[in-house]
Amino acid sequence: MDAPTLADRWAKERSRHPLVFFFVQRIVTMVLMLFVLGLGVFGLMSLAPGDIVDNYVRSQMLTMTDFRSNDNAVDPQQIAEAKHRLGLDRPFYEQYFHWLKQVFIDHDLGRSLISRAPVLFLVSSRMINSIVLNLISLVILTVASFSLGIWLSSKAGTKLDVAAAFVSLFLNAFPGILLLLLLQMFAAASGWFPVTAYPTDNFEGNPTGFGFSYLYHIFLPLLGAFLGSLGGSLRLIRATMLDQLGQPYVTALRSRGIAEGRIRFHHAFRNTMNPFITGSSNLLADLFSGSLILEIIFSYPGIGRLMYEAVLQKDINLVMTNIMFISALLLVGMLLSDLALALVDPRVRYQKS
Amino acid sequence: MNGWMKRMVRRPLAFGSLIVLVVLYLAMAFCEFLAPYDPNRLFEHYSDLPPNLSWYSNEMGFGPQVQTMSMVNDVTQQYARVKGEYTPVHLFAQGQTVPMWGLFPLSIHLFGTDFDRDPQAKAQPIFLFGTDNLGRDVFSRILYGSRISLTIGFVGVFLSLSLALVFGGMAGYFGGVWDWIIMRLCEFIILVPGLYLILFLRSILSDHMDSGQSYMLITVILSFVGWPGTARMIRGMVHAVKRQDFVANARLESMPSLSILFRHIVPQMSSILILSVTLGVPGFILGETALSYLGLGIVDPAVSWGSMINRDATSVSNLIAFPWLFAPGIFLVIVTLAFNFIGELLRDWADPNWKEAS
Repeated sequence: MDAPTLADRWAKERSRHPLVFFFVQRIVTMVLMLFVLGLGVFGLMSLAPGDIVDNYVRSQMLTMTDFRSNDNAVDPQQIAEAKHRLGLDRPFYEQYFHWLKQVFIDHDLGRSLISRAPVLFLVSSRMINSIVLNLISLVILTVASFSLGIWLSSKAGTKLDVAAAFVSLFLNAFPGILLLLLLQMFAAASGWFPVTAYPTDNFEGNPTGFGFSYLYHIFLPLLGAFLGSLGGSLRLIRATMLDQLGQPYVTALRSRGIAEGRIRFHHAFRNTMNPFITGSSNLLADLFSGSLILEIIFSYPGIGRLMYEAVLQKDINLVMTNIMFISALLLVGMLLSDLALALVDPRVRYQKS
Repeated sequence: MNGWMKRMVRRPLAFGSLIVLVVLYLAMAFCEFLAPYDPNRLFEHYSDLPPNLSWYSNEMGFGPQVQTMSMVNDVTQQYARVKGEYTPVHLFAQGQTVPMWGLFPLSIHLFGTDFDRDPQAKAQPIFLFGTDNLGRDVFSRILYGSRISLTIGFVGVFLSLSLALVFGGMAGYFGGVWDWIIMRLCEFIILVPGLYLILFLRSILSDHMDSGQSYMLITVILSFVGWPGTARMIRGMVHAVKRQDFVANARLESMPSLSILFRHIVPQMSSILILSVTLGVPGFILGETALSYLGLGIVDPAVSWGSMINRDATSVSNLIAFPWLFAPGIFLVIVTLAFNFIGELLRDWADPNWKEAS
């Protein structure tokens, strides 16, 4: 009679702590997904023609000025040795398990296969740059779009609102790459702003000077990113705000003589948070992942460019570290946004319906 | 006039966008006729030439004409206008012979000069939007490039929407294990950073492909990355619709469940689906541009707007010295804006709470 009682207790516990069970289940799924993802990355890497040693050899052969075919410049034995040393001659799942052991048992993320620098150092130094840029952009965007959106929703129906709706639609539809290119062209043509996004000064020598120079350098890329995403979020906020203001409960509040500002901020605004919390699940991952196109156009040393080069060069240690980290953050973000939704909105409950 | 046409005319922005798009797609279909030259034809002595059409001169009076330009500095590629030397531009001019739709040779173009007919004479070729650094006509390249840039959106949306409909619809309708498996699959694909997945797939499969293959590959990759989001949306809507009485009736009449799903439930969502097509198309066009910008999309000799932007419009010095090379970017902006304006109109129509502004 042991088994049924266990099952009973399981069901009982489950109905008593639905949230806990929900999250435990999610976390287990998450870990499994990450495991499969890593396997997939190694599989894809091994599917790709040529590996990092082949790429290296090819680039060496291209740079050799007096290459003659019967020169034994590239020793096949050396190539085989190099491949063996890097473990590239083994099947991909063995490489994957080796990587897992290296990370979780030896606590070592390994070295970049190209530059021989520790992966942790490379990723963390680049990631700080990306986080700073993304954080500034996020704060400005959130503050601006919420205040503008709420303010515009109070002007609904006026000419100003029509103009703002058009501008935000325009910004939303405008291709981001072109916006950045145009801004860079503007910087080069006017000479008022630098065309690259990272200062050449040293941080240690002169932190304040570096800070100002940094803000000066990132102004245009930030403006581009800001304008690119302002349109979308402004539209969303305005639409949800107007949706809420049309609800019967707002009429009821108004009929009781509650001040309009109080209705807006304490009642309608709180209810507009829902879609944003659901939509913010990838916020955490976005903060850490950088924006590739922006970094390439303005040659900003962020994580996006590092990853781009790593993927193209098949630098597996670097790629794995970053993809696993970003994906884990994405999953955690999804989990946190579910949790936040349950905390903010009393109607959301994680029970079996 | 139909009802929807009347409503359309009342929204000038969306109506104008529709006209612009129709014109562009027609131009795409007849680009062999409209473009004066083959997109890959090299004019050796005309590299980086600015647009050279003018409408008035003392010698020839009013009318389309081309002023001869001669290079004054072959390092910075600067040209000077030659005084008094003009070439008239004809409509339906005899020009280079190109295969029309790959079916029959066509040597008459909408406009052109006598450049091809007498190479000895001083007739100048016409370059509506100038030339690039190899002396290729930017206008012809834009027209031929639209074959890729304008179709990739519809093909891509078709692929990703089909995937999303099948998987999202099944997850929503059958629920249970199907739902769990499909939703985990969606989450998994969302989990992989999209750009890196694209990079991976592209670098694996990219060696020695012709333009048609890489076009298909880009479309498939972009739609593979894009479908899970739509599938989740469709699943939610199917969930809502399947509780309604007509579905229960259909089930009582023992209709096969797949035909309930696709004949009765999916049509209920048609307005949303049309909307997501309209808003999805510019997304794919920009996706192709981004890939081409990274050098992973369309490459020479095939031509698309993204590859033109990547080739000519990415270096600042190039853009400042030869601003006409930005022309494909302007076309890109026009197309994405037009699709968004039409999408905005459709969104308003699909929204039951929305009332037409008087």
